[in-house]
Order: sequence, then C-alpha cells, then structure tokens
Amino acid sequence: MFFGRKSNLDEFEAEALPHWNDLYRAAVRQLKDEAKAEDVLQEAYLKAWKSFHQFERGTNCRAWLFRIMFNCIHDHRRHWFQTKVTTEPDDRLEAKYPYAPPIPQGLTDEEIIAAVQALPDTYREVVLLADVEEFSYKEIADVLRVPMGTVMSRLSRARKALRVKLAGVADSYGIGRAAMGGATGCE
Amino acid sequence: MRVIDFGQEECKKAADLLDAFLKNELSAETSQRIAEHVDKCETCSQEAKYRSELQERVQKALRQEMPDAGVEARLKARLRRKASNEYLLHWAAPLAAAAALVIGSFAVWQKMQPEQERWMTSTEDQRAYLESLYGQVANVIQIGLRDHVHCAYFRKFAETLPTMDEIVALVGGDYEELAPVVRDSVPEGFHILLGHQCGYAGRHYIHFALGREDDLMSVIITRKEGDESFDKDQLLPVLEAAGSPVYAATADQFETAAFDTENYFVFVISNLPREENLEVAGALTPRIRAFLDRASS
Repeated sequence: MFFGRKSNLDEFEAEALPHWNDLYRAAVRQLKDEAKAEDVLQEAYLKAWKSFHQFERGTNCRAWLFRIMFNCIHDHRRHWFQTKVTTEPDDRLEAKYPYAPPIPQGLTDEEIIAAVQALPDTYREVVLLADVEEFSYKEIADVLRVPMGTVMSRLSRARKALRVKLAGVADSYGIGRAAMGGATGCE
Repeated sequence: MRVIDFGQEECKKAADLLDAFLKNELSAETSQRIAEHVDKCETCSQEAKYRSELQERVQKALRQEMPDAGVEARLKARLRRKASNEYLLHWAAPLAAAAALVIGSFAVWQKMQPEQERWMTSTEDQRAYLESLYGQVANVIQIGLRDHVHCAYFRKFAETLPTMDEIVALVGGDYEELAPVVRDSVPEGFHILLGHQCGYAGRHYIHFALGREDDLMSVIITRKEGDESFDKDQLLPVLEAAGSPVYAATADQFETAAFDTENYFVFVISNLPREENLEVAGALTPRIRAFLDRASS
C-alpha cells in the first residue's frame, strides 16, 4: 500500500507543482511578506499531499490547492493577528463611491498594486481570485468557503473601494478630477 | 439559472450585474438583456468599459510572476523530505529492523548513513537549490558551502565505510596526515563516509564527508584564489581558536564555521546546531592549521 503512496508523489508533483507560482503570488499579496508566504505555500502543499488521496482526479486541482492555501492563510491570520477574517468592512463607505471615473492613464502598475494591497483582506482576496487568477464565482465561493452571493457582493464593494483609492491617487496628480466631478450615476 | 426582470430600474439592475456580465457568469437570457441595455445606455456602457479596463489593469499589474529565488526548489525539498519520512516510518524502518536481524552490519550502516535528500536528481534542481543558498551567505562562505552541498549533501555514498587506507589513497599522500586528524577531532559517533580530492566550479578541494545517524558534516580545505578573504566580505569572527579567528554563517539547514591560514580556507559545514558546529571547528583549528602551515613551508 505504501509503495503506492510513495509513487503517488510523482503524480502529485506533476498535478500540483505547476501551480506553485500562482499560489505563491496570491500568498505574497495576501500576507504582504515573502517569507510568511513561502511558509504558507509549503504548509498548503504538505496538506494537499496529505489529502491527495481525497482529490478527485479530473477536477480542478488549481482551485483545490487555492482552497487549501486560503484556509492556511486564514488560520495564519487568526493565529498571528487574532482577527475574525469574515468581518465585512464598513458598508457605509459605499454611499461615497464615485461613479464611473475613467482609469487615469498615468497610473503605474506599482500604484495599482499599492491600491489593491491597501484593500481590506476580505476584499483583496476576491479581487485576486476573480481578476488575477480568473476563477469563476462558484470556484471562489468554494475556495473561500462562503456563499456565492457573498463573493459577488465583496467583489462589487472591492472594486468600488479600489476605484476610490485610484481616484485618490489620480487626484493627487491633478488628473481625473474633471471626469469624476462630472460623472453621474444611475444607481 | 434565474432570469432577471428588468422593468423600470434597468440601470440599477444592470450596474449590479455588470461584473457578473463581464465575467460571463450570467444565464444566456440575462446576459442578452444586459448586453442590450449596455448597447443603448451611454452611462452603463461607460461603466462597463471602466470595469473591464480596471480588471485588465489589475490583472496586468498583479499577474507578474514572483521571482523564484529558490522557492520552488525549497518547496520540492520539503515535499520530498515529508514523503521520505513517511516512507521510512511506514515501511522502510520496520524493513530495516527485520533486515538487521539477518544482516547486522547492514543495519549498522543504515544508521550511520545521514538522512539525505537524494531526490534532487536533476542538475537543474540542484543548481537552483544551490543558488537559493548563495543569497544567504557571503562569497567566501559560498566557496565551502557549494562543495558540501554538491559533493556530500547530494551524494549517494557507498554502502560500506571506507578504510583509512582507502581514504588516504583518495586524499593523496601529501594530505594523508589529515584523515586521522579529522577522524579524531569530530564528535563521537561520526564516521568518515568519504575522503578525497574533488573539484567543483573550477575549484580544487580536499574534502572529508562524515556521517552520524541523521547528521552530515564536511571538512573542506581549499587554496585561496586572488584576493579572497573574510575581511574583503566584511565578516566578523564569532570566536578565536588557537589564535585563529573563526567565522560562522547559516544558510537553510547548513551551519558553516570557517577559518583561514595564509594560503588556505578551511570549512566545517554540517546540519548541527551552530554551537556544536563551532566546537568541531574549534577542535580542528590548531591541528589543521599546524598541518597547513607545515605544508606551506
């Protein structure tokens, strides 16, 4: 029996290792620390290896690995920061979001990264999973173990928060102000 | 899937569903209705364009791959180590114990073999792992570390211990005094697994590899080249042994203690705790220094 398990390591590596960079990238963004991200990445892969016999061949290995890793990230946060990760950021901000400012052309990748990094954890993770890693809502709900409606509302709020942050950056450059001032919403 | 009834609040409903629309997450019917609304509504059309651009910009900015810096190699190492430990616990250990009843010497040998990660069978994996170590230590420390990792850590040792005559033959007559010095200066339980002259990355080494259960140690001597020195790399000694400053560095699981003579560097590298590794270096320093000073003169 154990010979079978040992030989499975090759299969596990072939299936799981090609995704390490996507997972590591998400972990670095979520934890904002490369060393911690590497610890979490290794922990996630060890857990995945341990439960590889439960993984259904032919299903989405990448999503399965992300689910394990985000579970590790949430545990990590709970352990180190004593935070309840499911807390939703303040909805009252929503009323202040501007509507449809154009994306200022002068924004650099670094400024966009900084704006994403400044989002609350629960918002940043849905942006990473939806926009960067291109998971479907259903897959994200599965990865984060929350209802699909929660994924959609968090993503919507995250994008609005991101919009405010980017508009703020643009405003500090003196760009985008006219477009924002003149924007009218239909909400 | 539910079809959304638009009615009079078309813009609001379209705005609520725009993200899902752009991600192609809606039913065909709802998607069709959003598309029709966006086509005829300038504001919603602008909003859709904005959200789409924002998503593209976010993806472009955040999708850059993280530099590897050995992350993948260390991940593979951890996995293989875990798998190897499981294997030993579940299968190989009882088997070795059973074998010991029949072939005692085989089991003794197994105990003397340090646990090694021989899994990094590809040169590419080994090189990536070595490179990940280089960033953690000064250039002068890398000189010894690369030989230990390349020539001991990644090596599959012979299944019988070499005799002192065999070691002396491989180390060479000029260095034959070193083998007993090394043997007598290391902590109890260590056995010389290998003594030889070797080369790596264009450099020549006298190398002794020693094992004790899960511990692996190398004593490495190499001639200085160019202006190499501890001072040049701004290292500070952590102790002095027999008048020689001894330097220390850590990279991953490897503890390095090093000292020099006028013409040589000497490295003691192992997976022992720093203090223990330094103790070995401290014990070796006077005798190796005396030998190398005689050799130089």
